[in-house]
Amino acid sequence: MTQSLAVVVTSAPTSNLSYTAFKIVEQAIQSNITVTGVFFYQDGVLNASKYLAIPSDELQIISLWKKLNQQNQVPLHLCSTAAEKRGLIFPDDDNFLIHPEFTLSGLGELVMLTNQADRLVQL
Amino acid sequence: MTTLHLIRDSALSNNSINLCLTNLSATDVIVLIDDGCYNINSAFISDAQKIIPLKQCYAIEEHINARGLQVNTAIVINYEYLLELIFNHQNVITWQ
Amino acid sequence: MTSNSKKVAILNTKAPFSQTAAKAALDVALIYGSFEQETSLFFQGDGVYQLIDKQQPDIIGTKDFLKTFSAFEFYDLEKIYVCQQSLIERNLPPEFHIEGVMVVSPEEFSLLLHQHNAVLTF
Repeated sequence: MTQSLAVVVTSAPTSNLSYTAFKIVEQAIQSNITVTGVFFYQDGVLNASKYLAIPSDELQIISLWKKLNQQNQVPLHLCSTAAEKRGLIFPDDDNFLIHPEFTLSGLGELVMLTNQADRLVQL
Repeated sequence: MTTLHLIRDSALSNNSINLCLTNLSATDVIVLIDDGCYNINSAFISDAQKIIPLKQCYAIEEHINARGLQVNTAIVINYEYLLELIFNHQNVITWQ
Repeated sequence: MTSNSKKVAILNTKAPFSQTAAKAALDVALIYGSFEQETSLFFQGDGVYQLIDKQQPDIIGTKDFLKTFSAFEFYDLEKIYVCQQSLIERNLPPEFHIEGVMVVSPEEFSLLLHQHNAVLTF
């Protein structure tokens, strides 16, 4: 039976902590664990920001998250209230400030993820 | 009913980390990750080992090496083993 | 993929106003409650400051979100545990701004926390 994992990311991309979250999700995929979704909450929502400019000689954490969605179809959910509070919502255009690999979701999505996966880990 | 405790910060700078100790059961495990690795030579790890044996204390190798730390109070592991631990325990508590 | 309803614990370890943790935890608790998820609230360390009586956050320009704690019972969030040792360490009397808070020893607190399948820390 395949094991499944849901991850809640509350760490901002401006710290090394969100790279740890990424590495754990990446390892889960390599270990054939189904990642039912990553839910970005609190400052974690900044991981979806289109205009967060990370210097080119530093780790491009946002690209890594995007790749997880593009190549491994990992659902990346963004708490819409937390995103709103951090200036990520542009009227009538969800993808103006947020990369299209991320989906704006309500906290209800977190409840779904909690129950769908065998384990819930917060990072 | 065993818990995996993920320790993400230094107990000397963040007192919430010490709350892990009052919630640590004899069959639990702790894993030091991120700045939690700095607990490796401090009171936190020796207090933890009054409750659980050294063989239930782990640290992520990459995070230890990145910080130039020497480890003899925990078992160093990779992410693959961390994932195994996550599924071998009933729940995970992240202390940060 | 297995689908099973989990017992959720929301563990509060931070004081209410200078960080976003307490409000974030409250929002999550109410959502779990509205989905009828079995959810318990735990307060330990500086998290106990969220429960004490006579707070007036509006003085410092913070909306009184602590008032919303009184809605817990309507969301069936009836398991509210506070660590006795954390209160003692802070010289706080067990007087709270909501009803139904259970003061438990650190040993009981740990035991109860271990009985949950998913734990979120704020």
